[in-house]
Amino acid sequence: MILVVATFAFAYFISSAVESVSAASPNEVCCERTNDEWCVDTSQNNCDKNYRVAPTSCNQTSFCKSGCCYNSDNGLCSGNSQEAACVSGGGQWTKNDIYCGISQCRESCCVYSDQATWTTQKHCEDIGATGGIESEWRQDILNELQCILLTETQEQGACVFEQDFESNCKFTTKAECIRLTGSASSFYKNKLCSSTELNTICEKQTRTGCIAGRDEVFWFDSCGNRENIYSSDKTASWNNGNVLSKNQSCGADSKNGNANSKTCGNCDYIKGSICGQSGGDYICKDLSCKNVVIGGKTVTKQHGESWCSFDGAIGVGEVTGNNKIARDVVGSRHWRHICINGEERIEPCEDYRNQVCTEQKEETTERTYSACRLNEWQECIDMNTREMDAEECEKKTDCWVKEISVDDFKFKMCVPKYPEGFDIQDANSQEDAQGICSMGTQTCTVIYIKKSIFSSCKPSVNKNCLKPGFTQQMNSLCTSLGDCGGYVNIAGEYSDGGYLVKDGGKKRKDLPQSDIQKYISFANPLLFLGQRVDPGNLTLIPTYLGALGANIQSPDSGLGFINQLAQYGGYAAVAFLANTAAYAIYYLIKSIAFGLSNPIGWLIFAVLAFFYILFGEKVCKKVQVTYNCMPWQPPYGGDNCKLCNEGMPCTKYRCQSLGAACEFINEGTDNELCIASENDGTSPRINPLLGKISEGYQYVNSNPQGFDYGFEIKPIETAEDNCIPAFTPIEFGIKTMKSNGEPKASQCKIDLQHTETFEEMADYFGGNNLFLYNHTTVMSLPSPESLADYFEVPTANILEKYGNLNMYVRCKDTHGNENTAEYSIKMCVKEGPDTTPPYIISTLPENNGYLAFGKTSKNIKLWVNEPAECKYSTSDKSFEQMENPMSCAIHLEDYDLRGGWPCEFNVSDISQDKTLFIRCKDKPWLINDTEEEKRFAMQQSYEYTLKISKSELKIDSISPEERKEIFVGVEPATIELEVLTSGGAEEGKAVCEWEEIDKGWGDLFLETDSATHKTSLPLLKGDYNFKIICEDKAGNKAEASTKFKIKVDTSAPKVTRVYNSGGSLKVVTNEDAVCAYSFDSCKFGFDDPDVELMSGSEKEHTESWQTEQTYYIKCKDYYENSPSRCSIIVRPYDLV
Amino acid sequence: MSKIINKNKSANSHLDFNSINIFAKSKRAQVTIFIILALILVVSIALIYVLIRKPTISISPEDNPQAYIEKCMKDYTTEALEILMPQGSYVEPRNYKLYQNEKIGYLCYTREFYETCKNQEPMLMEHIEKEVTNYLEPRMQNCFANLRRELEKKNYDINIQGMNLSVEIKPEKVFITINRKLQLIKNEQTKNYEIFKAQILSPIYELSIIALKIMNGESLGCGYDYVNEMMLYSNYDIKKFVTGDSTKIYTLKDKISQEEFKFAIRSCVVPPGL
Repeated sequence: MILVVATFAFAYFISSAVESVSAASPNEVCCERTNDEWCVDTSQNNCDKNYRVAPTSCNQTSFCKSGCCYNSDNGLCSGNSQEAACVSGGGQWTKNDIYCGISQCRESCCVYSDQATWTTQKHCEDIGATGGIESEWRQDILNELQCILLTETQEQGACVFEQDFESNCKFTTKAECIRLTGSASSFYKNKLCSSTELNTICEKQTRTGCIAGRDEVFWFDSCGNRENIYSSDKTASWNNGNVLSKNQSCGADSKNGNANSKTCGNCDYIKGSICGQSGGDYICKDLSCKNVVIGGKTVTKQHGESWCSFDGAIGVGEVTGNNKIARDVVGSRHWRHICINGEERIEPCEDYRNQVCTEQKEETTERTYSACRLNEWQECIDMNTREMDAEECEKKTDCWVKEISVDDFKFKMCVPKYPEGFDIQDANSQEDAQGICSMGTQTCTVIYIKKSIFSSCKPSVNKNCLKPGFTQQMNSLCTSLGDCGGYVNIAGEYSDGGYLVKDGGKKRKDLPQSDIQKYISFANPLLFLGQRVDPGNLTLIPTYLGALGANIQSPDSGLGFINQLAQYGGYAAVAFLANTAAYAIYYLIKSIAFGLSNPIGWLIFAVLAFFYILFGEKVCKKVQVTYNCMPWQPPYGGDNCKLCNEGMPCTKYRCQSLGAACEFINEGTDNELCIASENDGTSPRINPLLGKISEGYQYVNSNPQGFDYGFEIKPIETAEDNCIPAFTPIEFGIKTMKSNGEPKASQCKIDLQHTETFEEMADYFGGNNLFLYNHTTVMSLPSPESLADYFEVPTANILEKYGNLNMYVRCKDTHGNENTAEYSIKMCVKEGPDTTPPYIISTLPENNGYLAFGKTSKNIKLWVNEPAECKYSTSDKSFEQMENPMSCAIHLEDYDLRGGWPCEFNVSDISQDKTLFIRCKDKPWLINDTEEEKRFAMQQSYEYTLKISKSELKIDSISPEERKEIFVGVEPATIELEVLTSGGAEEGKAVCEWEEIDKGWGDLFLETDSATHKTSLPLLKGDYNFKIICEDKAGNKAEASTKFKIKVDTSAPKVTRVYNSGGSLKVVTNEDAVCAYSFDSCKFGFDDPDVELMSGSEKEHTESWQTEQTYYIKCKDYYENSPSRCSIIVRPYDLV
Repeated sequence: MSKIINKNKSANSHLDFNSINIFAKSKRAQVTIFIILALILVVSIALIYVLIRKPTISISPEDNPQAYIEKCMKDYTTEALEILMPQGSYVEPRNYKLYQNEKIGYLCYTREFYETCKNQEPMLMEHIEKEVTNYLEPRMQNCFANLRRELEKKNYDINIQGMNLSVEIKPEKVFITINRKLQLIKNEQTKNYEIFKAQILSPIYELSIIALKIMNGESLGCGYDYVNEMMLYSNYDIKKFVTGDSTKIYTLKDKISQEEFKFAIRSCVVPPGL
C-alpha cells in the first residue's frame, strides 16, 4: 500500500517540479548604449546618459534598428550595425539595410602595385592614394578568386637612368619610372634590367630570393631587381631579357605548385607551396602537413584541407539488435582539424554539441573539407510537440525516428542524431535538461488477467514491460534525447544515475551488462573510424579549388563579406530557425514533457473488456511500469578529473562529465584545470528549507534532537485534526549542508519504506537527480477513501496504516558520502470523509481557445485534481442537472503524468462562440452506491469558452509579387519579404514561415505573430520560388507562393553617339545615366571638385562645345555602374 | 719574466707559442684582462639597458626638439598598439572574454542566446585611431613637459600653446600628427615649431579590414570562412578558438611583421539545453 501512496504522491510532485518559469524583470528598458555595449535590454541604471533610452525592449525601438554603416573615409562597410555606433564614429548609416546593399558597398577587384584585393571602389582609391601608387577598381573581374589570381596586375618593365655616370636600372611600373626619371622614354615595357638591349650595369641572375606578397622564387640581378620566376634552366627563365609571365614559366601546370622542386620556383600558395628558404636555397616550400594521425594511421594532408575528429562514436548506431541509439557520449565534442602552412590546427566546434563537425571529399583532388555547423537538434524535439510525422522527422538532417516496441506498448519519437549536452551545474540548463529528458519518461501498463476462477492472476498484456528489454529500449530513447539516462562519459565510465524504472512502485535497475559494455565501447574513437556528419545544405568545397583543376563552379560574383553568406547561407538560416524554434519549444516542452499519455493502455483496456464479456476473463490487476528519464549524472568522486587536462582542450562541460566532484578552475587563464573538489569525508547534513513551504503550513520540530534528524509538516492553524486534507498539493523542501552549516551540493532521495542505503531508495526528492543545495517537492496525498476503494478494504484499515505518514530521506554528496541514518519527514492525511469538492487543473484546448474555420466539433480534455465524475452543460446548473457526461478516469491508478485525472468529451454543432459549464463530483467509485451522499460536487461551474474562427485564414498579399523582376545594382540585394494575412481566428494574426522551394531554405519570418509578416533576405541574382505557410492559434492554415527574379545590372552605361548639336556637345548613352567630364584625364570621381556634370539624367547629355578642349567623359547609371576609365574621350577639334 | 718564459719555452717545446704565452701571463697581465673583461661587461650591460628599456628619450631636446617629440610620438604609438592589438582594439577593454590571461575585447557581441551579434565597432579604424589618440594625449603632454624642463635647464625661454593630436591608420602605416606651436628663445635667437609628424609601420589597417570582414560574417551569417580567407590572402594568418561558452577568439597575424590582432565574438550562441 505504501508503494501505491508513493506512486501517486511522488508522481504528482514530478509534474509540478518543472512548472516554474522565471519571469523577465519588468523594470528593464532599452539602453542605446551601456558602458560597454550597444542596444541592451537592462536596468535604466546601466544606460549611458549620453544616449537614448526607451521603456520597451530594444526590438521595439527605432534607434536600435540595424542597418549598414558606411565609412566614407576609407570605403569600408559594416553590416548589422546600430545607428549610434556608426554615426558616433563618423559613419553614414542606412536604416534596415543590414546586408549593405548600397552602391558604395559594392565590391569588385582592386588592382594596385603588383597586388589585387576584393573591395569597394572608395577603399581601392584609398589604397592607391595612401601608397602613392596607381590603383584600379576593375568591375570586369567577376569574383574574388579571379581577382586574387591576377598576380601580374600592372605592366612592369625596366626603368633606365643615369647614376654616377653609369646606366643603372630599376624594374618597376611605368608610373613609378616617370616619377623617378620624369620621362616615359626611360621605361622599357616588359624588359628586364639585365636585358642586353638596354646595356645597363645590371647583370642577370646573380641570386634567387622571395618577394613579400608574392608566392614564387625569383631570380635577382646584380642591381637587386627581381627578374623572372626562378628556373634551373637559366636561359628559359631569362627569356632573352624579357618578362616571362607566371603561366609561361616553368612548372605552371604543377598540381602541387612545384613544392620542394630544386629546379623550378613557380610556387603557388593555393596549390600548397610558397617561396621559402631550405638549407640556404630558396625553393617552393611544401605547405602540406605530414604525419597527421587519423584513426591511428599517419597520413599527409594538403594545405587548406580540413577534416573532423570525434571523441568517440557519433550519430545513430545499434546497441543490440534493432535497438538503436544516438551514440555521442557525455562530455564529447566535435573537432575540426585544418592543415594550413604545413601546420595542423584544431578548431573546437561549439561545446555541448551545439555544433557538429561535417566533412566532404572533393572527388577530383580527393581532398577533404570540413566545417563546424549548427546542430539542429531542437527541430527534432519540436517535432514531438505536435502529432509526430515520422517521414517529416527523417527528412530533417539531424533527426531520426526512435521506435519503441514492447508488445503493445509502441510509439515513435523524433530524436536528435547528435544529442545535446547539458550544463548540469547551471540552474537554467538544469531546468531545460529535466524538461527534455522527461520526454523519455513513459509508462507501460501491464494488465494481469485471471482466465478463470481457478487460474491465478498473470501478466498478459504488455508483459514484456516487466523484463529488461523494456529498460533497454527506453534507455536508448532516453539517452538519444540529450545527456539523459544511463550512459557513459568521454572516459568510457558508465553511470546509471539518470534513470529509474519503477515497476508498480518498486525500483528496478535491469539494464543488461552487454548494453553497458557496448556503451563503453562508444567512448573509444578508434573503434569508429570514417564517421561522417551530413553537411545538410552546406557546400564545404571551397571555390578556390577550381584553381587546382577541381570541378568547381565559381560564383558569378564574389561578394567579399557577403560571399560568406552564400557559403554559410544555410547555416545562417538554421541559426535563425534555432532562434525562433527554440523559444517555441521551450514553452511547449513544458506542456508536453509529462503529457505524453499512453493511448495504448486505453485501447488495450477496451479490447480486454470485450474479451471479458465473451470469455469471462477478468482483469485482476494493472501494474504501471514507468521508465523515468532524467538528466545523466556523472560518476561520484573526482578520480578521473585529471583526464580532462590531457589531450584536447578541457572545458567546463568535459570536466563535469568526468566526475560529480570535478571542478573546472582558472577559467580564462592559461592554467585552466579540471580538479576534484575537496572531500570532507562526511555525509550531508539535512535541515528543512525554512521559508519554502505552502502557505498555511509549517515545519514542526518533531525530534528532541532538533531539525538535524527530521521534521513534521502541519497546518499552522491547528484544529482538532492536525493533518493535511486529501488531494491538496503541499510544497516543502530540505537543504543540504556541510557539518559547519555551509551549503553542500547533494542528491537526495525519499522513500516511504525503511531502506538500508541511498541506492535502495525509490525516488529522488522532488524527482530531481541533480546535485543541489536546496531540494523542493510538491506532494499531494490521496484520500483514505480512494485508497480503500483501490485496495477494496474498509477505510478504517487504511487509516490505521496510513493515517500517519513517515517519509525517509537520505542525501549523497558529489564524492559519494551518503547518510547512513534516514532523515524523517512526517505528515498525516486528514481523517474522516473527504468533503472537499474536486477542481479542474487545466484544459486542452485552453480556456478561450479557438476552433478552426469550418470545424463544428472539437474533442476537449481536462484534468481534475482527484478522481472524479464530470459533466457539462450549455447553461449553469447543478452537477445533477447537467445533461452531458464526460469520459473520466475514475480510479486512483489512472493518474496522468500531466498532473491529475483526465476527462474527455466531444462538443459538436458549434456554429458560434460556445461557453460550456463544467462541474465534477468526487468519489466516482460511489456512483449508484448507497453512500452517494458522501460524494461532493463542485458548487460553482468551471466556465469554459471555445471561440470559432469567423472566416478562413487568408494570405492577402506577398511582396515581391508574382513574376516581378527586381533590378538591383549590388549583390546581394536586400529583399524584404512581406506577407499580409487576414481572417482566421484573430483577424489575420498568425505565425508565418517561408520556404524557398528550389533551394531548400526556410525559416520563420523575423517579424510575425501578427497580421503583417516581414523578413529581410540577402539574395543573389536569379529566379526565386517562395512558398509561404501561415497558421493561426486555431490551427487555420493558409498557403501561397510567389516567384520573382532578381536581375543585377553591373555594366556601365555605354556611349552610343557623340555629336555637335547646335553648338553643344551631345552624348547619347544606351541607358539612363549621369555623365561628368574633366579636361585633364579619365582619373576622376563624380564628386571631385574640378569635375563638371553634363546636363541630362536620361539617355541624352549635353555640355557647351569648346573646340580647343579634350573632354574626358565618364557616365554612371542608376546603380552607380561606371567604367574604371572613361566612357568616351571627345576631342571636338577632331569633330570639327 | 722573460726568463720564466724562456724556461717554459724550453720545458714545453712541443707546445705552440700562443699556448705558452697564455700559460705564462703574469699577475699584472691577468689584472689587465680582468679589467678589460669588466669593462666589456659594463658596456654590455649599459647597451642592453639602453636597448631594452621602456621608451625613454635619448635624443637631446636641445639639439633637436622636433626629433625628441617625434620619437615620443612613435614610441608611445607603438606602445598603444602593443596594448590594444591583443585586446580587441581596446586599451582598456570593458566587455571582454578572459582567454589565456588576456582580456580579449568583444568586437561583435550579443548577450542573448540564439541571436546574431551586434557590430560593436562598425567604424573600427576610427575607433582604433581614437583609442591611440586617447592613449597618446597625456603622454605627449608629458613629453612636452619634459622637453620644457630640459630646455629651461639650458636657459631657454619656452612658449607652448595648445595641442591638437591626430592619428590616422592607413595601409601598412600609422600616421601621427601634432599641431602645437612651440617657440624656443635663447640668446635672442628664436626657433619656431608648429607641426610634429611621425609615422610607424604597422599592419593594423590590414588586420582591421580582415576583422571587419569577420565581424560582418558573424553578425550576418553566424560564421566566417576564415580558412578561405587565408587561402586567398597568403600574407595573413587567422586562428579561431571556440571557448566552452561559445565565445570565438580570433587571432589575426601579419606574417611579415609577426604582429597579432586578437578579438572576441559572441554570436548565435545556443545555450546548453534550450
